[in-house]
Amino acid sequence: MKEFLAVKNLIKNYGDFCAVDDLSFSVYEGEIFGLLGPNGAGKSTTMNVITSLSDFSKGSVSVNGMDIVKDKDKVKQIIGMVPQEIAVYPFLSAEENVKFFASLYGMSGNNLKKAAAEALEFVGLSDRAKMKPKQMSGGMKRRLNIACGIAHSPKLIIMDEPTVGVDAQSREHILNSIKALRDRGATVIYTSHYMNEVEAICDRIAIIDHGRFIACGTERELISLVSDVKTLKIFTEFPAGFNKNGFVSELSKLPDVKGGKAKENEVTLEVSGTCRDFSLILEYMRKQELPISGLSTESINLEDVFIALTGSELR
Amino acid sequence: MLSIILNSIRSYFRSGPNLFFTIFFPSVCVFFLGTFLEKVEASDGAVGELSVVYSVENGDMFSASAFENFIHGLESDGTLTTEKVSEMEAQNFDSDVCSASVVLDGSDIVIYKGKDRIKNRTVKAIFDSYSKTASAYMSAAAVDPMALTGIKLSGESFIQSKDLGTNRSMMDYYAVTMAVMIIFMGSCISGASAYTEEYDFFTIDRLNISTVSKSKIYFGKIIGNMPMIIIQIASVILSSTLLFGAKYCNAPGLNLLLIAMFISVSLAALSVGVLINLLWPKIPAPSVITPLMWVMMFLSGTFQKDIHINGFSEKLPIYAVQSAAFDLTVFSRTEKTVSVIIVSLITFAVIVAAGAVKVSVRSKNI
Repeated sequence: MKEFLAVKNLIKNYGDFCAVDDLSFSVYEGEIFGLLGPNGAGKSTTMNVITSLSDFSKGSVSVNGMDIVKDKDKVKQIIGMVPQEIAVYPFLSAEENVKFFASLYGMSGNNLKKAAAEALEFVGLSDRAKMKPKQMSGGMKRRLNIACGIAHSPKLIIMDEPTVGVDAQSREHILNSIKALRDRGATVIYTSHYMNEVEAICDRIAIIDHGRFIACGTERELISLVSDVKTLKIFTEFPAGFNKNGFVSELSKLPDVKGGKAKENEVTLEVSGTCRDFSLILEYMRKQELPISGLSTESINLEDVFIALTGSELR
Repeated sequence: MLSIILNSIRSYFRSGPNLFFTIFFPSVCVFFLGTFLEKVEASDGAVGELSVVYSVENGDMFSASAFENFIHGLESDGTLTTEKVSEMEAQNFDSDVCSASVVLDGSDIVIYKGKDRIKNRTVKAIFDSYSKTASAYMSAAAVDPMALTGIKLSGESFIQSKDLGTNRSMMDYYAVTMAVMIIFMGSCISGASAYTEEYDFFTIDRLNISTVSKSKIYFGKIIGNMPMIIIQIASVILSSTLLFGAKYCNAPGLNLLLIAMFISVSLAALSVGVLINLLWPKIPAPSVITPLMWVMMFLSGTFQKDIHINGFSEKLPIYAVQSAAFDLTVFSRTEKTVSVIIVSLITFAVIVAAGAVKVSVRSKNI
């Protein structure tokens, strides 16, 4: 995959405070890249550097092979931003807002009209083009916020918590839109505090804290950094006098089973995180003539990884 | 940059409060202040008929003769009507019928005031001037009594009234002061809100990450506010002239000079506002600038022409602009106006350059 964004040894100091400390990561073309970190981790500073909103102390950042300092204007042309706040003008209609922000990238005339119409269509606001933001619901405003950031067809889109405060339907629509942007070839950097969103749409995820790089990879790779174990619970009915300890001991000899315990009518097993097939375990239980009344698995998720890597103290 | 200019104009026209405070409000101020304060300033208009009773019973012969001569002169001019009475009658005059009573005691003049404050002031002014003139003659006579005998009296008044070519009213006064008010308030606050609005709407980052340079955004903000300035000035001048009958200059050329001064002062005020906003973008500029402007306007006589602090008011920019405007509208004198235009344009150029330098510094505190 082609490296589209390269952040190398980035350092940003505010006086004595180091907001970004020797941060390096790459984002590949056409992927949705999740950037996670607790409050004050340096996410915003990093994104501000990438968008040229902020300068930096040391290091380098390149977008599509262009240095963000030397080729600032060219880089700006291919970057779009969807900020966390609803950044639109209340006195302009949805269409006027989108047109205005697209015009800042040199679009005009029919091209501008077409781009605005496409952007509104993309976020499902075509029929609300003449509506002003104050007349819109929270979800509509969020979608308008996205339309304003993508109308000029940027190749790199930076989205900072674009789903804050929206209902489930709008969130679903927005997440599908982001995936559609990727499918159209755009590269997306996505930050959110909703871990399930990041899990759902991001191809790769980086976790940063205290301005430093902590980990980067796919969801599975990140989970494996923390734990390779998941919990399998089997609900059954043990006959009177059944040797539960012996039963668990035998189960533990099966492949992927790392240990377990049995109490009352429940067996809890620790199995390998990569285990996708429980048939051997179930087969063994059938041989023991134990009924299976229920099954559940508890896997470690991204939130557990995030807490494990960044700590649980409040920021 | 054109988009930013057009957006600023749209922002102005789609804001009800903006339109109210910059177009409607000043026009209404001209009307109300002009109409109601016209009555307060009645002394500037007709004093009304003056009738005075007088007594010279106790005056010395020379003083009584001169005094009576003066009284008769006033009566023949139609300045006042007089009636000679005894001293007793003069002291107990009917204040419902007479404006005042004047008694000559030796060479001193005693005035018994009536009920009307304005008429009292007028009568006092008349006899003060008589007293001063008389003492000037006495001084001259003491030096060279013979010289006075050579003066030939033509019988005509020494005073010639020069008509300024127009009848001035308080409406005219407030038309000028309200125009100046809107220039300073409207322009400065518009300028000072240029970036604040972007911060309020969270659109500042969208502007800054776009391909439009910060300098172009800055100039777009300034240029985008200029049409508003023209509209503000035009609305005050047109509404005060067409709706309320106010007068500015007598000659069209002078009116153009007046408008040129208003525009140049507006540009200077606008640039100051934008610079303030650049330096302190998160301060709600209107809440800081508005009270300052009101104090400055108050001390410059914008709302009441008699309010003035000697040695201080003259140094206030609003006072200087008003003074230049009155010089131009009332006396057709252009010197102050030209000076104000030059100073304003220099101020505008310097501040715009300073702002451009400020925005070109690429940094942001987060």
